[in-house]
Amino acid sequence: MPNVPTCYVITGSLTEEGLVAYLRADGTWASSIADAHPFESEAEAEARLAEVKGAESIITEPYVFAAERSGDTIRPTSAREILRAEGPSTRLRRPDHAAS
Amino acid sequence: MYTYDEYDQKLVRERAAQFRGQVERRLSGELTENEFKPLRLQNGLYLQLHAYMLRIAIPYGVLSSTQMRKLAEVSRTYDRGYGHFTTRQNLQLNWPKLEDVPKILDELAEVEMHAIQTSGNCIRNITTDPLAGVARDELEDPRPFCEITRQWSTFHPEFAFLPRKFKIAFNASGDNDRAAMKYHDIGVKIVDRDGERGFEIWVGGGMGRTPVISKLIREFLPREHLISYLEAVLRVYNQLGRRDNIYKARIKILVNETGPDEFRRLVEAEWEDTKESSLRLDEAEIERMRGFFSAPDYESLPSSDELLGQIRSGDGALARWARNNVVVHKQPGYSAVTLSLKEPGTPPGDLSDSQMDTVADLADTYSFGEISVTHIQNLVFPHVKTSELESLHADLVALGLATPNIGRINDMICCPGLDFCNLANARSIPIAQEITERFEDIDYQDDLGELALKISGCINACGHHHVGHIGILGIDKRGVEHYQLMLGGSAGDDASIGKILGRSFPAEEIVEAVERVLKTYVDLRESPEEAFLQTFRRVGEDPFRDTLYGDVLYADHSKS
Amino acid sequence: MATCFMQIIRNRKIVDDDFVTVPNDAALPESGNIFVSLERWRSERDRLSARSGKLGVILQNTVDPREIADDLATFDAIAVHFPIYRDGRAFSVARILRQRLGYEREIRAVGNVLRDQILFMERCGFDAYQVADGKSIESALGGFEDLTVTYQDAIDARSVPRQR
Ligand code: SF4
Repeated sequence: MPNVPTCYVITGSLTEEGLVAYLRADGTWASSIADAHPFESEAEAEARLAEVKGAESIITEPYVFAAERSGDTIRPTSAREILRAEGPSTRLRRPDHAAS
Repeated sequence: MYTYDEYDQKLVRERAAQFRGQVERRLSGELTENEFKPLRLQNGLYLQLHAYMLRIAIPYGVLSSTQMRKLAEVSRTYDRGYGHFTTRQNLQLNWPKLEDVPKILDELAEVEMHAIQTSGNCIRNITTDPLAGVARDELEDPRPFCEITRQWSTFHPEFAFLPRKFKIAFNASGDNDRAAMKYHDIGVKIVDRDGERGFEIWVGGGMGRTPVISKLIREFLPREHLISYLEAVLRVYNQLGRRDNIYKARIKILVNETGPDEFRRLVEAEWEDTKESSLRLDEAEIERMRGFFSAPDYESLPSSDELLGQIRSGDGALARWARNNVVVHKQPGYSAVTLSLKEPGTPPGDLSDSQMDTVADLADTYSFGEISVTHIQNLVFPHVKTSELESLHADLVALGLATPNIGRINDMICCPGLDFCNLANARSIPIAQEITERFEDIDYQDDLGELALKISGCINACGHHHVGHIGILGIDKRGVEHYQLMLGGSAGDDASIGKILGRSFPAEEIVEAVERVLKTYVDLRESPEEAFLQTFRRVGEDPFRDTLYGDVLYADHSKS
Repeated sequence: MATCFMQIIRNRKIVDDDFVTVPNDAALPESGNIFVSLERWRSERDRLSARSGKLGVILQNTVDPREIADDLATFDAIAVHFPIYRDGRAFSVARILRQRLGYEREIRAVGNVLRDQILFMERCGFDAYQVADGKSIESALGGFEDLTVTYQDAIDARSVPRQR
């Protein structure tokens, strides 16, 4: 099995909407993890995180998590980050759609 | 039900205006998240895994049809068209935007609702029996006392920053506790002694990572002293409760550390000084509150016990529903109906905006516009004419709210878990969905009888797993969701805490494990009348441990 | 050198603070109004009583004020400390002082004193506020007006049931 290289991603919640966001290379925030900037080292990501923390009115409670990268795809490893990236896994969001 | 006067109305409006200012200060950057967080939490606004979550208070679970319609409108306009009823009898919206929350609070204020004290280290929503006011076994309707307590605790200046959150529940039905009173920080039980009406005061119950059954601190409290005594308990807790460790901050830890006797002494000493103060309730105020909860305009009808018996004795869907979801009523000719929010496959406790609208209409047609929310995450129409059950049943079937599974294994409590909750270790809704589908056969559920299954996505126990006859707790094993199974808990007057019998199960195996427990029960019960909890208490945990972990085979299920 | 007084809120007005707080290791000034810690009051009671100028004592929020009931008459002011606004013990301390022990002079909130709690402080018996460093004292004044309906009696007897 080929080694899946690890990368680090900065994430947080958009202050206004509360929605999940990932830091792009250009410093803006993306809603999809596919657009996240993968940092090579944890130290590099942490250093960038410190800068991001100044922008509280845009992003709330930012932090770094580790992910796997194969080619262009970034895949979180913990159940928590997978759910944040993909949204709730419950099959039916609206209970009245159950009958159909 | 309670109706606001100018004071109540002003209070919720001022609160909405205050929060609007705080949100503006946050969005402009004047307030940091650190400073804003406690302010938003005091308005029930959390930041969850995917979005903000707003928890709306439903005092002691009572809703009017007008309020339900407003909840529908708010869910539709500001959220994604559904809401989640919780074990605290509240409603949670999962997707509001921060800037919309002040608007939502304004809308709620229009129908006498709010999100005050649904979070934070303060006195939370007061809860009670969803059958309050209609149950045949109650001494009196507990809601006037709930409302008195709600008003006393709302913006209480001294108790807004307690060591930890604080929950108070009322039970007026003796041994038939339907409010899990013994798992609250304070449980108030309405009792009679020597012809006088008053209260037993139970203190220090709770779930969370340290489940504790509360202790009886006062055997009889005359009713005029309700507030002065609660105030004494809270003052002792505010001063002596631990603040050095969030996991030891609940009053249950204080009561355990001081011991119930010393705790009682401290409270009584405090109370001695305040009981004759202005906190003493006068009979006129109690009467005034009772006035709000007077019975609706019932028609005078003959007893319908026989009619209900007839409906139940049929063999169709209506009969089963009448057996499982309908209970008798104080008032001749009427019944109380539970609307199951546990249709197989749906997230337990969820209701869509269009369902809310229709439920409101049906409440107007059948139940004097009244609805109550149960701590088991269902709804109740408290006053339905027994002669109209058949027609209501048909309407509820069309709405997907007539699943006849109340009190059955599929009528489970389930917290939002890792699909929504920021603190979760594992998902709970998908497990609930899998269970409802696996055991969908209603004959099998009826054969299993009374069974309370409860699922929490982490040790905080919002899904009450400790007190499930079968409890499931989500844990995180190196980033992978696992589930701990526990057996033998009870939330009722015969309160007990479930036991963990062995290692946890991965998601693929947990439902299978539940099924093995059920087979073991069916094999071991003395008769179909012996409920799961009785069998478990009689035979003990060993046979269940064997079946779960020892690969011991019991007789095939089909033989029993 | 002109003495620069800090500003505080007293009885819902912004005024110059006429007290200074004397740290435990500093010498007592000859005159003027001072706050000292409870420990210092206990160890230097005689010297403190003999001074001219008003005397205030600072209580930590862990103190049971009933322990100093006998000394209350000697204090011109009592400050109660909020280490962080969300530690609510000081509310009970003030209430016991005002209501139970009948202390009638100034009770001052010091420490992490913020706009959003100031109304609750007042209702528990505080009447003076040293607003937290870096926070606007004018903005804090607005906190008294945020909510006007009170459902329960605290040190005031203005609960709604009473007015209905
Ligand atoms: S039990 Fe845990 S996962 Fe479930 S809602 Fe509570 S905090 Fe969240």
